Amino acid sequence: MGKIKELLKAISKGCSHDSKSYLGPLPIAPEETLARFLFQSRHFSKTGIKQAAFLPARNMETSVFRKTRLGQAYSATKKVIEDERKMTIKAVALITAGDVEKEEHLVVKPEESDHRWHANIIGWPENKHEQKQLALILANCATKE
Amino acid sequence: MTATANQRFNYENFTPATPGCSAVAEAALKKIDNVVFYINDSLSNQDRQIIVANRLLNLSKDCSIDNWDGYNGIAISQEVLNQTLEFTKSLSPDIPTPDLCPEPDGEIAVEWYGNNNAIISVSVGEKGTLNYAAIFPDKNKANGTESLNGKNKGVIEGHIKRVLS
Repeated sequence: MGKIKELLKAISKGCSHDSKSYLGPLPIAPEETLARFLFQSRHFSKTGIKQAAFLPARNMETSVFRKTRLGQAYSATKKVIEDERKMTIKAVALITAGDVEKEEHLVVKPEESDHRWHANIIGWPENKHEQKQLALILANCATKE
Repeated sequence: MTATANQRFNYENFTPATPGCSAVAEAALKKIDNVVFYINDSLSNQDRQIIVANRLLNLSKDCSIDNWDGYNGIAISQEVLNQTLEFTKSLSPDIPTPDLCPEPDGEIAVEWYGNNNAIISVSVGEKGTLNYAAIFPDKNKANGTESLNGKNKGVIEGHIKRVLS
């Protein structure tokens, strides 16, 4: 069981991540699909995603994975994240990087210190009501998986 | 007569079978009408509050400790629960029961959904701050901040009605 977890973690981290050939994260294309893992069932409904699912955490970032880039490692990555957080992913909000970045302020920035193909949505305004307005737009663009 | 929140006032039971034709009888009927309107409204409001209180109870169970969302979310405090209940209590009786959603900063979003992806989401904070954002059926948007005890709370009610229109 431990070996399987190690293997999954290695897949999630990406083969080239620790190797000398790893030159850092690749830029994010607008057409890339981003996956926001949802551990709280109140953040989605039968029909869609709620704005709270996209609101930034205390560090003013919204954590996402680059689903398009993960390819076949997507399922393994979900399992690794569930194991790490000891929580079940209840649903996934999918949105393209282009839909995020068409909103003023917001930028999708790769952040791969822990996981290959991980990124953060950054650039959130300080005012809560402005954050909510952007989160509402993202939630309307997103689809539920 | 006693009425619980689940028992709607039945107008027919309180309307005389053979209404009188005198001015006194008409005045009495008008009074009954007013009473019926008042009771139905207050029961409707009470119904909404009972549903909201139940939803808050369930929500507090799910979000009572930090990291309830897997992203280091702040636990929902008793004060936020109280303020949310106060906010919904303060709304006009004709506004339907809202959906409730926890937010990562420990606030609760009170939400209504309309046609054409219209939505208004009002975040209630510990000190009664109301941060709202809305997308209306015509795709126009609005956002801002009000206070639970402020004079301009009617602005939010106006937006709710516009979303539901």
